[in-house]
Amino acid sequence: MSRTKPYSRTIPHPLFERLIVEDAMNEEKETWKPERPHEYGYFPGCVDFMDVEVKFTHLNKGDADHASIAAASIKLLNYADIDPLILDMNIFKCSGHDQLWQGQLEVFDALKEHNMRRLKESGIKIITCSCAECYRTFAVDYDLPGTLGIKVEHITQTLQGRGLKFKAPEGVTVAYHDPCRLGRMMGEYEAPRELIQLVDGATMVELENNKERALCCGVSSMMYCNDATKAVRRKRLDQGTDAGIDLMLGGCPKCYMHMQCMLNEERMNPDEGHHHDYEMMDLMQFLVACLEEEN
Amino acid sequence: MSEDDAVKMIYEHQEEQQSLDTISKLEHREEHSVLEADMVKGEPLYPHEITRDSVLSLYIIALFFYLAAFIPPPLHEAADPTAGTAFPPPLPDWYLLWAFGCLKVAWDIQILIPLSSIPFLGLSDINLFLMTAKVWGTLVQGLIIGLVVAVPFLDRALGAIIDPQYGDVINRGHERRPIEDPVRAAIGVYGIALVIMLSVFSVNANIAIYYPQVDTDMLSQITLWGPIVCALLTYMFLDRRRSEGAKPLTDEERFDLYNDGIKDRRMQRIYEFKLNRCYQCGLCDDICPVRDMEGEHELNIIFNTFQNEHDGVAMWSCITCGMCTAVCPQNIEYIDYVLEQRALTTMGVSL
Repeated sequence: MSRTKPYSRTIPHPLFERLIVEDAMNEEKETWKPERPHEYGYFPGCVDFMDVEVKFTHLNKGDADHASIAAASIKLLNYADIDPLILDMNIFKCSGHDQLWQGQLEVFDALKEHNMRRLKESGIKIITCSCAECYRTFAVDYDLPGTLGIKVEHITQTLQGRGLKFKAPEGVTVAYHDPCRLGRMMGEYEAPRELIQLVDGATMVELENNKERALCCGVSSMMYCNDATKAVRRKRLDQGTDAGIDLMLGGCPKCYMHMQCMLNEERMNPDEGHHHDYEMMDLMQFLVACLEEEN
Repeated sequence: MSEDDAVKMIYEHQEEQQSLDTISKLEHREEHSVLEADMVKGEPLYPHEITRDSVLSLYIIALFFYLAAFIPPPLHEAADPTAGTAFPPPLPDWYLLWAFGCLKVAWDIQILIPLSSIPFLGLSDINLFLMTAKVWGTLVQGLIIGLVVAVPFLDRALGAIIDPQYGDVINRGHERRPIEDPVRAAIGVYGIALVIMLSVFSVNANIAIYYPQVDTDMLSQITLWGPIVCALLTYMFLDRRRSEGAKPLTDEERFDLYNDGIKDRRMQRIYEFKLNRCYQCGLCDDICPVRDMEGEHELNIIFNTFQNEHDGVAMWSCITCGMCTAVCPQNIEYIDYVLEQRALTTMGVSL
């Protein structure tokens, strides 16, 4: 009754979904070899795929810039003296997390088979992901440490203790939003927090629900976006307002995407009365903005 | 009154009704406990069971009388009073050997009041009565059976002494596994060992024929000390096991154990076995964001799912955030179950 325009939309975008399925089913036979050997591999996930090729966020009239997460991650890795092999979507395919959790096992198995073969050919020792979902999928569902002997790290774990220096432009209050895949499923709560505490001039506060009991962004594995999941997200955003933060930082591009989408929607409809006076950012974007350049 | 106003009024009314409904549901939440069980009604002892049992036993007694009257037992040859004592002596059936042993092992007991030990009075002892081995060896069997019958009453009385207020409650259930109650287990082992040793002792004459070196004194010593040693060893072993602490099995080991135990039943999938550990604390229900937002009440997500009542969180509404597992005291991985269910549902149609 209160709403005249329907905002509920189907996500994932059917076109994008179809593309991944098509991509998974096109079996590639030829072998691939990187130009030079690398120790680290960086897997950007579907972030760049989604934002560069499908312009998902443009459909949403949003300003969430996912490609910058990948760019920021690579820049940070370079500053930490790591030369990663970029495992991008030209060579690799989607990690298949969403397909797995949507129950599409056939698609997931096809993606997994391809990615496992490519990982074997790449010769890397450690794979690092800026996406919490990819991190979980590689570590648990692919079981890379057990099958190929490749160590799987989230990018916060890789950057931890590398002597990076950050300085916030002004005194900002930030809060870290634990992604469910990184926190509850993989048990990593401390590495992102330690990275945030490295930033000079930024104050970190904890939201009302944090760590094991952190609230969800509501749309894990891109199932759908409806009123119930929006209510979950709004509850989380309200907790940010209660804590009086300027920035909410997430460790997963999905959290960033859905929270930012919600904030945009509220800004477009100020008469609905919901307003949260802060921004959502991915942790990598925040860190690269605060990076102190040495020369 | 315009049409908009009417719609608004109807809407407000509906909302009010919904909130009232919610409040009443929350108030009566305790009434809908999953532990609620109907009282099982049986037949009363009198007159139903007594009548039935009397008829049956009278019928059997009548049968005995009939058989005794019309088919008399055959008479054998007359006993020979001049015959010597049989050696080895005849033995009772094996299940009565322990009672025979009781009679053999008992010795005469003289019960007297030693008044002569009190000085300066010059009194003589008063002999109360003499308890012969035959008498009290017979009584011992009754004593043992009586002790077994008395165990529940003794247990209850002990509980009442230990904690008068909750004496009754304390005995509603004590540990059944031997490892959790080494004292009771040791007493049980003592009883079994004693019965076995008494049986062995009762055939001492037969043993002496084949093994002359095993004499009666040695056998009586073993009968006395053997069960005590067995009980002590049991207690020590169980107590040591207990102090080591219970080592929880992994899920796979538990599953194998469970699966081996019930071969004839449908094989359960491992997630069902995991859900089986739920003890309905309802924490998952309190924390679940979906349940919270969709406004349902009185659902216990994991328990209901295990009961195959999929009214916890609908399969496709679950956002697989894992909060239920994070708060679950039993670490039940509910999202693994959701994952498996989704995969089963879309099997073969996802392409």
